[in-house]
Amino acid sequence: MKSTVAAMILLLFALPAMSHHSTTAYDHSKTIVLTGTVKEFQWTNPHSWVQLIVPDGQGNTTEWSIETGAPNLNIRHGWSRNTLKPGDKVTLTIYPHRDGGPHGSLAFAKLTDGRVLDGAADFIPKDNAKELGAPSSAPPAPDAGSRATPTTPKP
Amino acid sequence: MRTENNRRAPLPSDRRVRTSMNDLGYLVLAVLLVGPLAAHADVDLTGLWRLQSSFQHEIKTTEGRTPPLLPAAAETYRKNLAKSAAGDFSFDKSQTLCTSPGMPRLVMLPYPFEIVQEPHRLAFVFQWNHRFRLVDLGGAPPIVDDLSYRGTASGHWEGDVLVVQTRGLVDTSLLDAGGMPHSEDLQITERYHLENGGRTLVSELTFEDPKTFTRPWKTVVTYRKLPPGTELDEDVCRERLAKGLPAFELDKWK
Amino acid sequence: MNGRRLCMSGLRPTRLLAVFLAADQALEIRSELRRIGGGSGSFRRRVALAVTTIAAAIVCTPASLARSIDSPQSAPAEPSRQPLVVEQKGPEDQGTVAPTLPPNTEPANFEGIWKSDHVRPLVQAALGTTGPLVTVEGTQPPYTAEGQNIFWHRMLMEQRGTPVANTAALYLPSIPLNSLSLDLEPFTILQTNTQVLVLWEDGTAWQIYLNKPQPRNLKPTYRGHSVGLWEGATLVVDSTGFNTRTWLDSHGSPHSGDLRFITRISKINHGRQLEFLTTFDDPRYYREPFTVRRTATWRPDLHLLEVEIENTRDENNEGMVYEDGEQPPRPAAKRSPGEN
Repeated sequence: MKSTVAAMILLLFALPAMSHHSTTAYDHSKTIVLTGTVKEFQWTNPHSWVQLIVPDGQGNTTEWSIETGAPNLNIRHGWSRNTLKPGDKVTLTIYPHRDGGPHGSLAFAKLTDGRVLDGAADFIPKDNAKELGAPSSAPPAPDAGSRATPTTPKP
Repeated sequence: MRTENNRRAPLPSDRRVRTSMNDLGYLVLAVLLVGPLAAHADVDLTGLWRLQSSFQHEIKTTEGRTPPLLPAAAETYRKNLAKSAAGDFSFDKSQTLCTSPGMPRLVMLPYPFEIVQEPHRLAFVFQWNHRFRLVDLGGAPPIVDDLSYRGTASGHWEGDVLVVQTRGLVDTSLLDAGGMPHSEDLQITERYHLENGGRTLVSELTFEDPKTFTRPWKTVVTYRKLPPGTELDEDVCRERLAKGLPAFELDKWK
Repeated sequence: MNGRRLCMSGLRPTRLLAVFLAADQALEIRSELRRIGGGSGSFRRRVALAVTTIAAAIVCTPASLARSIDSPQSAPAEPSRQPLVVEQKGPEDQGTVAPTLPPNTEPANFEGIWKSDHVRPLVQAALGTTGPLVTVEGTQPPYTAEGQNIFWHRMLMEQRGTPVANTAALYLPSIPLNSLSLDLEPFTILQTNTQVLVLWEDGTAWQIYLNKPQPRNLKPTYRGHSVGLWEGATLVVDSTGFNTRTWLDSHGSPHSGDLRFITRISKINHGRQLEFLTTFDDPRYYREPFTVRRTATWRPDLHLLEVEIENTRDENNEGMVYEDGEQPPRPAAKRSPGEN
């Protein structure tokens, strides 16, 4: 019983399905808003990507790589392969990468026509996440001292 | 015992025989009446099929010529063919990443495929890297939700011929291993019929793409049926790449 | 022999045969009429035959097959002539579409487009979840010590942000049944009298071969080998022959090459849902067989889209740890000695 309860608490924060990379690479506890020009919109599997040129207001620009959902997921959240084209201006709300570099995972995109589209990058679309009863963000980073060695259950 | 007409009275067994003959007659009549209405009903393409005509590294028309490419497309093809001849297939994601080779390459590979046929839909299950395509036979106009490698296919019967129209093909696929390009406007029509007592499947493919070709053109491929009970083997392209083997093992199917 | 039932079933006789049988019935009717009534047997005979022949032709043409399926709420009887109206369910729909597949509540006909019922809060774990396996009793699987160690190791690696790569992460196939848990997008089922075929958007094909035994000496594969038998309206599927590269779930429940599972598939909820009850047996990692439940909802309003891996950026593998001999996925070298 105890191991079941412990497991369930652990599982509450587990991310299901095809997490083919760790979403703890992105810090879901904060967001950054980027406004820039689309250099490239890669409508591909396993993820789509927005390459965004963002000015820093001092004459310099940085190219950001923003991960968003696979096409089959994006389509079901109102996207199409033509939603963004090179040269488009767009505002992206992103979860930044923990390393502080110019990459992130898309939370929302605000288009110039006013539409707001879900980033769907974390595989669990936000409406599904509510049903999960768990936060739609990644679990908090474990304590530095946690042990990888599991306990042996009673036979 | 004789009747007044000097014909013997029908015996119960006689009556049964005449009744049976009448029955048979009516049954034959019924079959003949309904036959035309059920014209295509017997055509069942279900089974495993393997390419019988030669594998076309460079796709040719029925006359054996290079398809009529527009100048820009012809230039792209020339460049890709040159790379291919030098062993460089970097232009082809199906060979570098095991991405689907799309249509028509999926139906022109020497790997077997299986057709599973239902009244409303038909599925092609390709042995190569476990791909599939669905053909909707329900008659509703096809809706292209997004461009794809397998395309959006709808089909209908014309007598004994299954006509499949595929559109919505993403333009990052190639029409052959040599690297022939196409646009998003490409429409492929396949006309399938059986020959040889159902042992051979013949497909006439028509390609229409005004952004790539000067006019529509056709090619023909044939398939032979594999013995009943044959199952598709598992094929995992990525395992081949990991071992330094090619994405398409064509020698294996000679 | 019921000609109509034959049309509907997976046996797929030629329609001519069905007509033959219907005509045979006509003759039965004719005989009956002759016995009951006097009068002009010949006239009655002709009427009966004509009516039945025409009826048989109508019954056995495709359009009729589409219409002659029961409406959801009624007992099998009257053919419904109204197309099913499906209300839009929310942002995940891709627009208004005419359903191309007819309504189908035939108990033993799973044809259609379905969508896995997705994640539920763990308090309802017994009803079916994605993610780690939970049994129908609401417990973790009965891992052996070895199985538990492997599972916990993989779970904790994921918690720490360094997940162990599974076959999905490596763009390799998974056990087809697991797509019910891994893939929350629509899937579709086709069936004939020799096969039930389940297809998912990423190309996963679960081929369930009917009425044949499991071959001996199966070569281990990712997708294993499945054979099925109808027990009334339940499809009972036996699956085995798996290689050991896959996991039983996305979090790390292990399995050995001896894995065997039986899946019982049947319609529930007036044909609006499919229930999959799978009993897994793998003595090396599980002390005893255990059963997991999944369900899927009938969604004829949805289409299957496509998932084709073509953009394997390095970010996809960030933080991934490769164990058990796995390597990160790499594209092919641009030049290869092999024929293309």
